[in-house]
Amino acid sequence: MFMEIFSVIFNVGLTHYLILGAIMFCIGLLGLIISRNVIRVLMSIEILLCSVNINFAAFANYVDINNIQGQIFAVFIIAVAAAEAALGLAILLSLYRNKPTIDTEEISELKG
Amino acid sequence: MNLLFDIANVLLPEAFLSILIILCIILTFVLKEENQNLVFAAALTGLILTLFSFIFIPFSQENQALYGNFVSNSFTIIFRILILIGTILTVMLSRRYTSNFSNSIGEFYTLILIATLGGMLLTGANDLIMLFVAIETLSISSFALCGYTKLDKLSNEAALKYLIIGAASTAVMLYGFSFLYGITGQTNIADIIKVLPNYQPSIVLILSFLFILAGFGYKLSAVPFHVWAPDVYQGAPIPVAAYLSVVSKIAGFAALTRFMTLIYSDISIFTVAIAVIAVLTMTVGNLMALGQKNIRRLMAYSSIAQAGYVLLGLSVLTIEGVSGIIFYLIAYLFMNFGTWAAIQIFATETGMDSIDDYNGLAYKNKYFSLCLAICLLSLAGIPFTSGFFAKFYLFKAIAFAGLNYMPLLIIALVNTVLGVFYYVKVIRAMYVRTNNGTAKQNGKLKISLSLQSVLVVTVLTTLLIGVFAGSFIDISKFAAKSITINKKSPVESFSDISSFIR
Repeated sequence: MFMEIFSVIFNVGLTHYLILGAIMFCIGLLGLIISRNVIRVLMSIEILLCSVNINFAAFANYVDINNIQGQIFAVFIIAVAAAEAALGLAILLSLYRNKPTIDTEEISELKG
Repeated sequence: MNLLFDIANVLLPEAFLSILIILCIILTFVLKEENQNLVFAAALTGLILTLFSFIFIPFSQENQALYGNFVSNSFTIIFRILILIGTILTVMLSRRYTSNFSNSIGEFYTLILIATLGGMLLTGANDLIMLFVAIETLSISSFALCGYTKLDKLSNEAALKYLIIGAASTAVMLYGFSFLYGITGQTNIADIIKVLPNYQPSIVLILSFLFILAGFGYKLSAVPFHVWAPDVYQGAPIPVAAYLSVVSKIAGFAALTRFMTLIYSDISIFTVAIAVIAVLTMTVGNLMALGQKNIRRLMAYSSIAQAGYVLLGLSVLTIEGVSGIIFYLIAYLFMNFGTWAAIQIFATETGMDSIDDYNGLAYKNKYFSLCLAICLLSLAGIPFTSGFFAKFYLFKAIAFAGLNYMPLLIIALVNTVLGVFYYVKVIRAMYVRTNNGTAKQNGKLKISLSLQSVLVVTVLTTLLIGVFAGSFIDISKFAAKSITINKKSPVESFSDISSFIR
């Protein structure tokens, strides 16, 4: 019994990577929804994109072993995520100059 | 050699546009502050040249470029032309806005051009990687454009909201892509189609579809992914809001239509999902628009509702439905742009954007009010405007699709009636009410030449599409021909659903 559980946990296969990806995706989504700090929100988006990268890399290794297009996709995602984070911080900085706060609840001039 | 052949045959407009972008960047850095307006002239002439370069592209056959990553056929060409026309109008609309700045004029036009390049590549993207990069090129430049008025708190806030929601929904869409890739082991859409029929429909395929739909839904501002739209349209500079509500949406619809018809056309649960979202989108958009006081928020909800009608055309998944979408988007481009041009004119002159500020505008500004009224009536779908024919043609496609679609048709008609109320509210403010406001509102608006030409061109085209509706329908039919839909019969698709339920 113990050995069975041991082998299920430690013989790492595609499922393990997918579960890791799903857990990270949920953490990212949760962080996106509940955090009030804009920096945290931007970090949650990075976690979301990282979970996607794990999925792509895992699928590339197990499903598409010859072409590994998934790994290429992951490289593109990393590059674009960097651009997005940079722009997000730049916008946050220019917002901070006009209104010194990073609380999402206080950034609420637009509503209705 | 291969690349040169691709460029000559398929990607000529995109190549022109890329050269134009590099030219604009160089001009921005080289020119002195007082000569920065030259970038505007360069961008405008370059875009018009790019539009003419479509003459050299073969329309009727399907061509591939970049090793199968980009497809050019009559469907994508018509969307690329629409995107370019929208960009030309945006550039002309921005002329007055950018003259407020002493410097950083050139970057604005460069960013618009980069976003347009992304949009044009998005329409024909035939690979998941290409699709993703094109969407991000479009989005990231739009984020920067939204926050372009750096000293304005509202503009910054709009940009931040747009960026956070945009990045999150892109991540969700990528998660869907990863499952699609895991099922098929391919990223090229042509290869995915070859592999996918062998695969039994399962919960993973449905999950991937829902995730991808979330990403596209954000681009189209479909309910429940619409929350960013009103805030962004209110806070962003008006030319950018017009760009987002027209060009970015058209690019998103092109990509979603290709995606749906190519990959997800054979299982009916997907069309049901699209239909549900379409109904929600137009109902929520119209109901929320009824109570708006600010004209920019009103236009935001109106554009959400308009996206609902177009999604309804997609849910039918027939050739007629697709041609209805194309005709609707042609009409939507001009009538929506005309309205935004009028809002921009009024806002630059008076600095106000509440509906009450439009009270009694028609007494001093007859032609301006008439132009705005025509655009609004066209959006509402009043007979003998282009909006009426577009709605009629789209609803006809839904009616002919079968009895199953009758409830959808009825909901759409009810929504059209709802829409009339809030469009007429603005017209009533201009014509019926009298104002007791400031001298600015009483006076005649001084309209700059570029804004005037945008307004006149869009209103005339709106009227012309109404007059020559037949030929525009022929164009959209021709464009829709290159879309292939392999749909099962209703009986088969019903057994699909019941197998899922079991």
